[in-house]
Amino acid sequence: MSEVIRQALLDRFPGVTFYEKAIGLVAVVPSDNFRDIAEFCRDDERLACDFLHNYAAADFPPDRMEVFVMLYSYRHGHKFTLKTSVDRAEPKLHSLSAVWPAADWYEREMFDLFGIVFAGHPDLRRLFCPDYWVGYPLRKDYQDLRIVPLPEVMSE
Amino acid sequence: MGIGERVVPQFRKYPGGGFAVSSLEYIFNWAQAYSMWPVTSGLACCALEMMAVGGARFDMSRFGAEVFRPSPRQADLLIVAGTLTEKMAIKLKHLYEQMPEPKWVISMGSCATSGGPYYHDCYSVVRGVDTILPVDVYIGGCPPRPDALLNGIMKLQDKIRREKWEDKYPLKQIDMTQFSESATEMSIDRMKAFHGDRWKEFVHRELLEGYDRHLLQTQALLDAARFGENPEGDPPLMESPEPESPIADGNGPQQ
Amino acid sequence: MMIVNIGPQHPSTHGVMHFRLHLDGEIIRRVDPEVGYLHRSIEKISERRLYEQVPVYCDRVDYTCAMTAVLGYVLSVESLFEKYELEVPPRAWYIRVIVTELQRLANHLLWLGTFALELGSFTGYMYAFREREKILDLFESVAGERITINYPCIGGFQQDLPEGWVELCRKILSEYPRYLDEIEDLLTLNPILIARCKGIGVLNRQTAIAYGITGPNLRATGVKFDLRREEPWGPYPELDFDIPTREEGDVYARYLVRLAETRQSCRIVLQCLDKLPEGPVLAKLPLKKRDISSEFLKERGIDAHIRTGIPRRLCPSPNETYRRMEGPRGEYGVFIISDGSDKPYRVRYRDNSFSSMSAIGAISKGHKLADFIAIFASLDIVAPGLDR
Repeated sequence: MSEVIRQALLDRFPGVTFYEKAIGLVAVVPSDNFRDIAEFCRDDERLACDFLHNYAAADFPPDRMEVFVMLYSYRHGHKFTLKTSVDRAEPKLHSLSAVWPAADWYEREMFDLFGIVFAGHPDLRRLFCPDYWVGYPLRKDYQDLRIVPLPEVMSE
Repeated sequence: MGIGERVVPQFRKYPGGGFAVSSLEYIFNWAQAYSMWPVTSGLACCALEMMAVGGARFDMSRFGAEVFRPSPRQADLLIVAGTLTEKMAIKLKHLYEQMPEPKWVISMGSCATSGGPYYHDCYSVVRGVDTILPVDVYIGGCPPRPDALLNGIMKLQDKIRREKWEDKYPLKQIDMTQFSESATEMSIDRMKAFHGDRWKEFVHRELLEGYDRHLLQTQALLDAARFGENPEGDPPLMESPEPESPIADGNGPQQ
Repeated sequence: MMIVNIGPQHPSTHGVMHFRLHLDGEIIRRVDPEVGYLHRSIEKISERRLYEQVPVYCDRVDYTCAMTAVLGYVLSVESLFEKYELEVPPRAWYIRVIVTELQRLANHLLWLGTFALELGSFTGYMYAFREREKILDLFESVAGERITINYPCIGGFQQDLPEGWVELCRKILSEYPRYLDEIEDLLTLNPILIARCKGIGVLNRQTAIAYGITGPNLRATGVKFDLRREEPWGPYPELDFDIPTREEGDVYARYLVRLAETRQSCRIVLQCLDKLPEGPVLAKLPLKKRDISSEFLKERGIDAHIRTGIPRRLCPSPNETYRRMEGPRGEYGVFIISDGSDKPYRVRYRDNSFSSMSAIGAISKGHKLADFIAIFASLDIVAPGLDR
């Protein structure tokens, strides 16, 4: 099954690399043609990924943030992950909300918590934090005087 | 305006008037305590225990408090059940201000009492509902069993029955308007003039501070950080309420 | 166009959510949900806690079905390890299934109670909560807590089931179908319920898949997809149960699917109780010693050669995992990135309330205001899964 996925992606986009971890098959794609690859995953016959079931980001200071798109196909029963890296100083990515409507709110959440700006998103504003919030909370270097840090215990 | 403010002080002028007052007190307190109507202000997990209290096993209607009113205008008890986040804090304050007097607040669960398990490392939780509302009874637990909520309601009932009118309506009137500086009195131009570009952040805080003059511990730190370059001088960390209260003036309500 | 707020405090106690409905008379033209009133930053907190300390927060991610919420996290952490490092004993797997299905039952009863309450049937609420109390009693005897239960732990369970629990469970579940018939008598063929629910809030298959909706909401649109059969864990492949589906996709279909699921859960638990093997319930965990540097101790004025008992911690090697399971609401999964230390690097909880909420604008367009309440109640959205 992973052979079919690898072959289908490599045929059309030769620059994609793969690795396998506990999460399954991960396809590392460049962030430039992110949206084209996503559309291909949805429309191609061998992949047919119609279900976007998770879309998350993680912060890796000092240089990059990684975005994971987890896809599943009801027709074939296979799932895999697309992974991109975005630059941490100015995180920008093309929105996937036209490809899967599910991506809409996930991208708003990522904008709210990480600051990744999605180009082409119909309504990019903060989702969880109030409007007046300054800063992106889930980044590793987020400073806030509201936070009371857990005291360090000796056994740490 | 009510019997308490107009009529009761007159009773005390006559001999035996105090006896009439205390009898009326007994009846009014008894009626209020055993027919409290809560607002459905269930925010998080403790709301499930509050719903269970309204259910058939832990029956709250035998305490008279079963009628949960969706609208705060018809209720007199606010059970804050669950975690209070900053975004919800203004709405809860509005809810409290919409309730008519007399009203009481129960803070149910550890999140409402002190921030709960979200005290550390959390950026969006208000650490305790008593930073914005005056609380009468605190119930601990995460979530407290429905029996614990019933225990809290019974304690509140005892507290109400012990209330004295002269504490609520003293012979000198307290000007309550100083305690509720709500959004209608605050003008956006004033905020912009004072705070500049970041005025939106302070709108929210002004609403929170309206009732209680003591600043939050974290808000005090925020103030110290932000107002460092304030031309009007740094505000003190803990404001003392006395100089501003008209009681100390001895002049009565400011018209 | 009138804007009506169904505000953060509303009598249907699904948690705090805010909707702005743009109404044209009574017809809804647009729905603007505003969420974040219960954003407790559980993901940020999880990054600063040990792996064993995070389950306390996991059951607040979805407090109506706490056992499955904790179990989702536990399964993800266990998948970070290789098979030979961490092997959960068979008795623990069976108890996990029992506990998951009981939690599914409790959650659907809670849903049923609030669904009936919002349509106006206070009696349905009382009946459903009466049944739910019995299951919460079972949970309390096994874990000490009724709602935010922290019973499953990494590697199994810390404590076994108490004596007499199996018999009590059997007794309660053998009486359950009769009580469910009583509730169904009241509600299922009720003309008021049918008038308010049939044909309302139709969600068709393509929309549901495109919006990422799973669980009973998806099964009510005709897609026979259940993660208990697709990505099973534990003894699920050997158990005998049906997956109820309906074709219409309206509010009534979702109601019927959830009721049918409760009967299946009952069946699964009774089978597991018969097959429950003996043995330990906790696996031997691959703990690692954490080295404390002498500078650390010197800074704190502790003599470096005196070491008090420094506990060993769970430190999975750097890995990424996403293990999903069928929670009562749909797909529940936890995405964990580990970096070799004793705290997770990134934890992300995926809950179905989030997807259903993003779709509610599309589902309720063109309906009336009173229908919106029925649609919203049938989708089984709770605020903690939404906001985390």
